[in-house]
Amino acid sequence: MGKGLNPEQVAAFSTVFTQLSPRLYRTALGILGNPHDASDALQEAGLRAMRHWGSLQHPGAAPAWLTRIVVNCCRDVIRHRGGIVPTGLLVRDTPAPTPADSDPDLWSALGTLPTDQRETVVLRFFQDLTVLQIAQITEVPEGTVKSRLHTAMTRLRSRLSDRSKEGVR
Amino acid sequence: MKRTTALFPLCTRVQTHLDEVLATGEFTLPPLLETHAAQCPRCGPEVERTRNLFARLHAGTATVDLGPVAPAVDRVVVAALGQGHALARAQNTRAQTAAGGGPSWRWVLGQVSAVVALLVIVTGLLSWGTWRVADKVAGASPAGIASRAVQPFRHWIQAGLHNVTSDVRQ
Repeated sequence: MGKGLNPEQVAAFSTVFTQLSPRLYRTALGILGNPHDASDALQEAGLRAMRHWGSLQHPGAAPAWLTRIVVNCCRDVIRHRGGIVPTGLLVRDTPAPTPADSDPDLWSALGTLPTDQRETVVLRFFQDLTVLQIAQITEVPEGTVKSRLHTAMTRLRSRLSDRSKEGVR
Repeated sequence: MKRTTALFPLCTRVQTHLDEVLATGEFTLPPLLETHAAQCPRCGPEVERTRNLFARLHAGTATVDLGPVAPAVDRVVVAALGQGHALARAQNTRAQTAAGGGPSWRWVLGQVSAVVALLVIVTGLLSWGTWRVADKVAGASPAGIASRAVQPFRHWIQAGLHNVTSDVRQ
């Protein structure tokens, strides 16, 4: 537990967290695939962020900082529910992704990606981050981010076009 | 046939460009490659599928239900406010202490008074006991003092010694 927040810090934290929460929730939802886990991850991330808010030196860094905390909370949730095969190459037994009325095929295809690739796609498209920002948040080199993104996008493109072919038939 | 052969280098460029697009997540297509893709049976569908994927990903969260966000945010904000109030209370108490006459000073004064009173009582009792002992032994020889001290237990000691000697004889 860090130091308590003074009233100004409480106000600043509450404002920033409230403003960013829809974006953070979408990120958690994209990574975790269901609203319940995403909501839990958002709440846990908020509590962690609150405890360490005083250590944040530049308020401008808050979005990236909060995103990193959310990603870490999502990883914790995934670890606890044990939906990942240790090789990191395949995802099994993860619940079917949810938000049905927003392109269920896309969500379903996202759910089949390994966690690191799914994180990368979600951060790129749901948070609109650059490759450099994703590299900083996930703490991997830019080349790794590009490689993950390329692999993930190729898989998604292939799956979605297979689905649309099935739909045509 | 001649036309198809001429397009092959452009097919390679389109493929290379699409690889870059997939790796950076930024869809762009220079006009030259766009024109080529529109005519090429190989590149055209590939470009369309990629463009379609980007469009779907960008629109993917547009209709997400944000219902669960508000309760989670509320819980976090309430926790933050609670922490803020706790800190404010602590600061308030410290300010009272610094101003003097606050509850902390009273508590410390009470503790110090209790310790001083206890010391006075213990010192008084010890002095009185010492005076009583000194008064009783004044002018007497060491043997007399010992004899007087043993006097109340004299019969017990004699009985004990009698038992021991009779056991030895038997």
